[in-house]
This record gives sequence, C-alpha cells and structure tokens, in this order.
Amino acid sequence: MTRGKPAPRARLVGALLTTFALAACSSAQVAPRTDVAVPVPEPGGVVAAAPGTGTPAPVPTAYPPCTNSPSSNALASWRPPSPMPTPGDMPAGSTMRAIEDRPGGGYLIAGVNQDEYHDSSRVLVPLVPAGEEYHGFDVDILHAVAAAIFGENKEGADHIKYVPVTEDFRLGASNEGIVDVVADSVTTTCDRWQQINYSVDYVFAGARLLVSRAYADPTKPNAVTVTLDANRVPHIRGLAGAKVCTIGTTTSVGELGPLEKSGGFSVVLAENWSDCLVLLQQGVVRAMSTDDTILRGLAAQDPNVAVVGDEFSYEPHGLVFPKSDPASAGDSQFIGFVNGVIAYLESPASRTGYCPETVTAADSSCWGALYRTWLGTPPATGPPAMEYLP
Amino acid sequence: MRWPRRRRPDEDWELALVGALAVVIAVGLGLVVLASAHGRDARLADAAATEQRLASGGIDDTLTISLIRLQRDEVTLFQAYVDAAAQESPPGDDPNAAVQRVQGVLADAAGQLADSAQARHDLTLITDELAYYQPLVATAFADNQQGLPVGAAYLRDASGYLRQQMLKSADDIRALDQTRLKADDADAAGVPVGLLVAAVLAEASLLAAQVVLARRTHRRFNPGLLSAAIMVTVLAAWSVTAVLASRGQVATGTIPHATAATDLVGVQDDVTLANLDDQLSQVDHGEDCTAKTNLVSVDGKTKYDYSISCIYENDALQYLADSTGTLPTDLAKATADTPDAAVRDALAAARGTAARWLTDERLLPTLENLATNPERAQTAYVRYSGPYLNTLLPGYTDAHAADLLYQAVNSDSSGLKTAVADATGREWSGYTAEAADAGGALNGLVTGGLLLGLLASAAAGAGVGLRVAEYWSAGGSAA
Repeated sequence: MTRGKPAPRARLVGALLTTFALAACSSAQVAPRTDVAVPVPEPGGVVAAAPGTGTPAPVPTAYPPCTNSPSSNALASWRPPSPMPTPGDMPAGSTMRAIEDRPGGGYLIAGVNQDEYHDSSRVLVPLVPAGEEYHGFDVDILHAVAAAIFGENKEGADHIKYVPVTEDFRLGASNEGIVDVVADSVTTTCDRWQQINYSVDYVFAGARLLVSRAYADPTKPNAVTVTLDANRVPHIRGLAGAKVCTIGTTTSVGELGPLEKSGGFSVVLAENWSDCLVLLQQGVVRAMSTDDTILRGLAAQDPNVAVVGDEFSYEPHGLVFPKSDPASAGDSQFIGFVNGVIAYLESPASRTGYCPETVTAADSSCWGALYRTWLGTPPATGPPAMEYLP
Repeated sequence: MRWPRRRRPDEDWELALVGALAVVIAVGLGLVVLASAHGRDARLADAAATEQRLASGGIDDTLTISLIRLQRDEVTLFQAYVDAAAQESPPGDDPNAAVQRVQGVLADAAGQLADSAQARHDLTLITDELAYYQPLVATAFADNQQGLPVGAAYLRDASGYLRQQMLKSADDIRALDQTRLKADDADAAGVPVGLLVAAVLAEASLLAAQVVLARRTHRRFNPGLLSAAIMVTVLAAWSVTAVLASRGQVATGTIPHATAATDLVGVQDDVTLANLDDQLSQVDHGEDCTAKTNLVSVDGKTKYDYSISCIYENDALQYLADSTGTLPTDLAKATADTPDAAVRDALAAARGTAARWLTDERLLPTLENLATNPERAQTAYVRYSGPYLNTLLPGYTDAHAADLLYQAVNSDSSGLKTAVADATGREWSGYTAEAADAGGALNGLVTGGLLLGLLASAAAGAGVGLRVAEYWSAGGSAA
C-alpha cells in the first residue's frame, strides 16, 4: 500500500456514516395558494345577452295586422256578454260557474308576480286576510274580476288563490292550464297569441330606463337619456361602455337589442326584476329597462334611482288566459266576461260601485283610482280603448 | 522466533475507525429507534389533534355548521316576513346574532389552526367575505321589513355568496385537515425503513468490527462485541415488532375509522346543504326558477312545452337523486368503508330515510314539480278537478299548506342528521380507541431504545477498546 492514498474502506465507512438518516417527520405543509382578491357578491343567474342586431326602428303607436290572433287586430279580444251575469249567479256551463262552484266557496286561481312592486307583489305584513296576500295594480284588476263573480264587495273580491309565477313561466302557467288567469304586466303581442289568449288592453306602458339619480339629471353631461326623434326613432345616450339589465324572456330584450350598437352598451340578463335592481344598486349595471309601469314600482323601493327618458316601445298589457278551456262554451266567454269587468272599471259608472281602492273626486273611474294608487298620475288620455273582435 | 510484524500506520486508523463505527452505529441505532418511535408518537399525536378538529363538534365541523346555520337562521327569519300574511307576528330575532356566532367560531379556528398557512389564508378569506355578506343580509332584512320585494333578491344574493365562497373556504380548511390526518395515519402505518436499515447497519458494523479485530488479534471471542450484538438484536427486534404492531393497528384500526368518518362528513354535508336548499326554495316561492319554452309535436300537432329549472330544487336533487345523487353515493361509500357493524346497520336505515326524502321532495310546491306533476300534465280540466285543487294547488297558494309539505322534508333531513351524527361519533370514538392502542404499542420504546442503544455502544466500545489496547500493547502483532 502506498503512503498518502486514502484507504478505500475508509471512504466506504465514511459513506456509511453519512448515510445514516434519522427519521425526521414533518407534518405535510401545503404551500399557501396565491392570494386572490375577495370576490364581490352578485345575483346568481346573470348572463350576458347575445349582442343585439338590427337598427333602431320607429316606436309604433299601433300593431301591424296579426295572423295569430282571433282577428287581425292583436289587441282585439272577445266581446263581453250583454248583460253581464249577476255576481254570485254565474250561468250554468260557464267557466265562471266552474270557478264559483269550486269547493270551499269557490275561488279564482290567478298567476301573479311576487316581484313587481305596485303591479303585483307579496304583502309582507302579518295576518292579512286570505285573498289579500298580494297587492298592486294587476292584483286589483283580479280583485275586480273576483268581485264580479262572487259579489261586489271586499269579501267577494278576496275569493282569489294566488300562484306565484316567474316572468318566463307566466305564459306557460296559463298555457298549461295551471291557473284561470295571469295578471303580470304581460305585453300583448302577435306572437304570444300562439300560446295563450288575451283580454283587452287594460293599461298602456312603454319601455323606459331606470338609472341611479347620479345619471338622471338631463342637464348634466353624464345623464342617461332616451329621446325620440321626429320619426319616433329612439336614441339612447349616456350608456356608452356600460351595461343594461333586463329579463331575457320579456319583450324588453328585443327592444334593447337594436339600440345596443348605436347606444354603445351591452345587455345582461337577470332572472327577475329585483335582481336587476340589485345590480343597479351595486353599480354593476348603469341602467335597467322594462315597462315603465314596472320601473315605477322598482323606483318606489329606492329613492336613489329614477325612471328616465321617453318611452321607446309600445307595450299594451293584457290579462292572459289558457288557449283551451273545456269549461268554456264555444268562444271563450270567460275572457269576454273579464273584458266586461275591465270595461266597467274604465267606465264612470265604476266610481260609485265596488272598487278595490278608494275612489276620490279626482278619479274619473275605478280604473283611474287604481292607477293613481299604484302607478301615479293616470295618463291624460285616460284608460286604453276597448277593442273587441268583430 | 517470529519478529513482531511492523504495524502499518493505516492499521491503527482502521482499528480506530472500526471501533468508532461500532460504537457510533450502536448509538446511532438507539437514536434511530428513538427518532422513529418519537416520530410515530408525534404523528399519532398530530393525528389525534387533527381528529379532534375534524370530529363532530370539532372546529372544522363547527366552522362549516356555523356558516350553514347562519344562512339557515337568516332564511328562517326572512321566511317569517315573506309569509307574514299567515302569521301572527314575525319573530324579533336579530340576524346579527348569527353573524356574531360565526365570528366567534372564526376566532377559535384561528387559534387552533395557527400552524397551517393555508388554513390561516382560508380563515382570512372567510372573514373578508363575511364583511361582504353582512350588508347583503342587512339590506335584505331592511327591505323585507319595509315590505319591499327587492329584499328577497338580496337574500338570494347572500345565499349564493355564502354557498359559493364562504362555505368553499370552510370546506378547504376541512379538506386540509383530512389530508393531514390521512398523511399522519399513512406515515404511522408506513414500513419503518429507516429503522430496519439502521438495525441492519448496526449488526453489519458489529460483525465487521468482530471480523477486523479477529484478524488483527486472532481473538475470535469478543464478549463486548457479542453483548453489543445481542443488545442490538434485541433492540432491533423489539422496535421492529413494536413499530409493526403500531403500524398494523393504524392500518387496520385507525385508518378505516378515519376513512369512514370522512365519508360521513360528506354525508352530513349532503344532508345539511340539501335541507338548506329546501329552506331557500320555501322562502323564494319560485323566484329562483327559469322556464324554457319549446315547441314540440304531439299527435301531429304543435304544442308548447315548458321545461322549468329551479336553482334550489335542482341543487337539492343533486344531493338526493336515487343512484346518482351525492347523498346515496356517499352513504354507500360510508357503509362500505366502516369497520363498525352497528354503523353499517344505522346507515342502511339512513338509506331508507334518504329515499323517503326524495319522495317527499317531489311533492314540494316548487314550479319545477308543478310543471312535471302528472296530475297537472293531463288536460286543462286539471284546475277544475279535485286532486289538483285539493292536493296539489294548496301548496302553491297557501303558506300553511306549503309549510306542512316542507315539514315532511325537514323531518326526513332531521332524522338523517341524527343518524349520521351518531354514526360519526361512533367512528371517531373507534378511531380514538385504535389510535390509543397504536400508541400503546410504542410504550417504553423510546426510553428502552435509547438505553439499549447506549448499553450496546458501551459494550461495543469496551469490546473493541480492550482488544485494540491489547493489540497495541503487543506491538501490533497477534498475541
């Protein structure tokens, strides 16, 4: 063995020494994930609408001829019976008699919205009488219908059972025969006549915008406005780069579509009007749009928002009925009966008869009293004209 | 006469090294035994602490339950106003009380989970998210009490936020502890490789020392090294036996109970969240539902068909659906995993309750059920006929009638919760007992291991030292 050369056995032993590993346990430590911003809450089910197409068209004041309705006039509905049946004594074989004969004293089954404050919403106070669980303009129309069947007094008017329906099932609820009638600010359109039947127009509305009061002053440069030009073509300003909320299964989304490009905004769709209001209050959207009768109820829930702009759509509202009613003899005499109730409400004679709301000297009819109570000052032109089938 | 062979310089080094190795390795074995036993003790202790956090009433469980209870209490209170028309007066509970409860739990959790950076992050996130959640609920109640429908939208917003954000973070914390428990148990059940290697090395080094010394000194019998070898063998056998016994206890005892308990936590979540979905359905009255209109051909005629989807109802059915729902799936898994026959029997009964819940779920007055109810699907006569009017319609039009239907599902979920809680308690008790047995197998090993290691090293040192001294005094030649 030569001097100075490390002994191989020493290296081996050294290696053995260094390979001694004492078991060192340590608890599993997961590397902390990258910090993320705290997500901000938003109503669920909100989706971006497909980009709108088309260009803004003049806002109509009447519908073109319709092939889906009983006549070419989409607003025409069945003529009321003459004379109208006496409350509490509906004709045998009629839908009204079937309604009257339901067990427990009879009741009208009505589809309503629980979200449209001042049109139709749930009463949130204790111990209201049966039949008064909902209130609003549309609900009062239903009270008048119930009163016409069961007795023209408060007791008769309360013979109603309410089924809450959503915006996109209100036509289905009627079409499927779940309810006798739907009162839910439903715009009468030619297309919808394929699914359901309509009453006459009981209130006119038009699409407008609901915005924060910060954008409501038309004298300010950031104001959101809608104006109709000389040809009644709507122009929206103040929404460039912003979002507007509406519900996808209503006529509102069709009205906003052509205005998107010219207005520079995009549309998001929520599941109900309150969700849109929440998005507006949270600043996620700058405006929401639907019929002004609905917007006024939403504005009544928040003093910081306001309805702005001209009406940029034509929205006659009708009550909705199932397409086929086996309890109805021949033509839908129930719809004619309801049209008779609406006609009565709009007539001066209703000032002295039963009215779901108090009629004041300023009201020209019960209809005027209902409008004043829930929707504000009635239009100067008065209630919509009754249009019947020939 | 043989002249004494000149001692090579490296022979001294070799002898010293071999001797040192024998001593060091014997000591090292003792230290490895100590470390192994201590390590297993530490793992079992950590597992026990983790199990305490995961068990029913532990902080992980409490955190999730407190968040769900927060939502449930607030929905109950909100419901009182939504259906106030049918009640004498809404209760006067303060929704902030539920939030304060959660804040207390978060503070507790921060103390118990201080050693996990991820858990601390999740707790911070929940606290931050609570700051967003509270104003939503406050707005919901303020609007509701003023009779404004928009309050319901804020409650929906808050519910979604709690489910999708805050509960997720709480789930993450629990998942961390479940992973930790699994890792602890897996380690405790692992093969003690280090210990086995150390034992083999110790014996090998003693043998090597014996061989080298025997060659140098021509003295084959070395009592010191022999004693050391015997002690190392005893130590190795004892520690391997004890560790393997502990390992076996963990593998066949604690791990199955921990697995079953983890499964049952999943079942508990399914039950609680499905029940919360039902509660939200009741207060929402269909506002969470959307409908799609389809044109279909029936008997050659075009017909409108409506498919309705309600968020809360769909959520609940995802938990409850027969064979595909997470509840029956998790129940089946827990039944398969539990080593406890009594728990298996209890879970078999629970499956029956879950099936009953599914039946009752289909009777709830939701728009989805209304659209698919066969009574309604027939003809337009339906709203004039008895069954629809007497059985189906009241749930949609009368708050009391709806309440009765929801009481049925609440009763089902309550029965399930009790059964699952009992089963979970049994599993954690079983785990604790098995963990104690596993730890018991290691009793004395730490002290004994170190003592034997030191004695063995002393014996080896004596054995080597005496022979080396003898060899050197003889001038480096064999005696």
